[in-house]
Amino acid sequence: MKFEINGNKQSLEANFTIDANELVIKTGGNELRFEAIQVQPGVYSVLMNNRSFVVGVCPSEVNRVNVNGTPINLELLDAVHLHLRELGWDALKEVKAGLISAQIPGLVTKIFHAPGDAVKEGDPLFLIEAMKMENEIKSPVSGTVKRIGVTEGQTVEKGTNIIEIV
Amino acid sequence: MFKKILIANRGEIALRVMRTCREMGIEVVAVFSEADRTAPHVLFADEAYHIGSAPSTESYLNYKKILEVARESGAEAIHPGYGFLSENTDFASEVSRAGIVFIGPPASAIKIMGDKTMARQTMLKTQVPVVPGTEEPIADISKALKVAEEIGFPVLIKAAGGGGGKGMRIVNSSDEFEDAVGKAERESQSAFGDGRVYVEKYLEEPHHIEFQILADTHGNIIHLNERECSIQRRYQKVIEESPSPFIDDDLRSKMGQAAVETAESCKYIGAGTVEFLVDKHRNFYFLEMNTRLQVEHPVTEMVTGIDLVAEQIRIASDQPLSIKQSDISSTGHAIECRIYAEDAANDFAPSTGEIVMLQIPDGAGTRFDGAIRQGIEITPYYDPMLGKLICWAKDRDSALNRSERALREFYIGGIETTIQFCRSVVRHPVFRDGTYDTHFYTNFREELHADLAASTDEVLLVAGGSLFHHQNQIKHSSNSSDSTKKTRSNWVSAQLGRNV
Repeated sequence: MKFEINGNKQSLEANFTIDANELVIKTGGNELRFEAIQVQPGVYSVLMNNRSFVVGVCPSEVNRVNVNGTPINLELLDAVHLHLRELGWDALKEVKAGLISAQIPGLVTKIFHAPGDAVKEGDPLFLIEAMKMENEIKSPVSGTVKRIGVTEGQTVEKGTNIIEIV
Repeated sequence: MFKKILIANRGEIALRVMRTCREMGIEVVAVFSEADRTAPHVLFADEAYHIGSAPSTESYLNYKKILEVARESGAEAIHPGYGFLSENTDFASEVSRAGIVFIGPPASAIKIMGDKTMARQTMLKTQVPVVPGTEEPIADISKALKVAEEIGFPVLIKAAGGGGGKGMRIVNSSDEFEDAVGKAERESQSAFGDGRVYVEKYLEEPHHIEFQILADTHGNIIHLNERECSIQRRYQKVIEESPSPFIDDDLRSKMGQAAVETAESCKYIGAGTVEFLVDKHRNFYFLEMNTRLQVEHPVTEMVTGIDLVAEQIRIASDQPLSIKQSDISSTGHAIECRIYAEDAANDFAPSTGEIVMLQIPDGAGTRFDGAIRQGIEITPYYDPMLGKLICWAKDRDSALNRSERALREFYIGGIETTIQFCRSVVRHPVFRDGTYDTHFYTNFREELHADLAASTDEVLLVAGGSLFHHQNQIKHSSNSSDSTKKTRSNWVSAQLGRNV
């Protein structure tokens, strides 16, 4: 599978293939053997061609990865996403569909739905107030509200799960 | 000597004080808020008492309740740590009135040094230099010019009615003076509705250097050399070291003398810190005195080998100091990095959440004073400082290398911290050269943040591979109960946020 990796103003193309328990990464004529073992939820010990790294994948932000302490805002685009991007779609929204979390810390002032409600893509889901500005969050998908993790009037951190739609 | 001490604090400093108490054979009493029932200081203590709800005004600042606990537990003394009640004169007096020993200076000394104008007036009566300037706002321009000429240019025109750099002008010579005063007055008027300005000496490339002092009830006062604290952001210290790479033995001895004189001037007893500003010509000026144990005290402990908390307790029980001035020597070099739960890349915004993984550095010369463990929730109620990493080595270069090594080893997963920011500082060439001043962060802000975000192709590949692996693992296990377990933590923390 071909991927484009974007992070901290750098970009790389690489090909990922799964070979038994290992991941083989091909890039710029090099072949790298990548092995990751989870040591804690979201924390991996990585050996890439026997070079050792500790990698943290942020539980609340899908695209934030920390390698040996260096935080990277990562974008991992596969062939489908690359094609969609060419067509003008935002690939990242696709990845996050279904589980809607707070993108900013703030106060949840209004939730428009209850578990079991059917929602259509584009329906308003909740209002979040941050720095005296009210933001309406719309549903990225159509489906049924599975659960709601907060109540109205609750202050949330960035990354807090608000609504899950299945 | 006391048999039991109550520690009126939480977090790393509560634990720090308790450790020394236990080594001295003294029992320790903890107090805790509703949010801190399982906090490290509660687990460490011999006794622990609930004192109120999570906000500190309802708990750690509620001194009537803390005094009740002291009586109930039979504690003979109270150590206030830093922050909270440590510089509260009412608390210090109430504790004494209750027949309990306050481990800190007399209320009168806290009062003098706590009020900046009173402190300045007290210091003007001594030989200790204070930053020269006009005491009153400028009424007569020719009189003000005369003062400026006496002080020597450059001088600073500052707004009397507010801060933040508004209404401030640096004046390099007497012919610029009148014009600059006019501009500063107009700017102050529009910014604060108050056009009054005053003159102060402009300190070029200032250093923030402080001296640790110890004073007992038998009239002995000594200083334990300096700590260089010029690495700050938003007026808050991030990294401190001792010895200062900026001052020599001669200046050290003069400043040490001034620190002792400062302590004498307010009849100080206990451990305290005298802060100075030092300009690039190595002129020093009294800034303020902190009448408590400082956050950065371990830097001094590492180079002098003296346990400052033990000395505080001895002084409070009327024992004479265990050391004389001539016994004080500094060995090697110590650097402290403060680890805050903050997102350095996002203007140091506080970061809260669960610590999902924790690896604290150890090995030779590496000390961590903290109060964290895996699974603990960092709440928005208290100071965002998680702890302090103090590295000691035989010389400054080795201490820098050791700090960088230890910071690389340090891993806190689940929240943002200043670990990487500190790493960017300790490997910055200007910091390594020791030629930095208090403008370091402002001057090198962009370089530091660029270093923070720098990654190689290799790192980017590791990141991409890990994310791919992570997402695939989640996809593979999406039908098993494991996936609920994995996503659970986010929901749990959201719900915790509601309850506390």
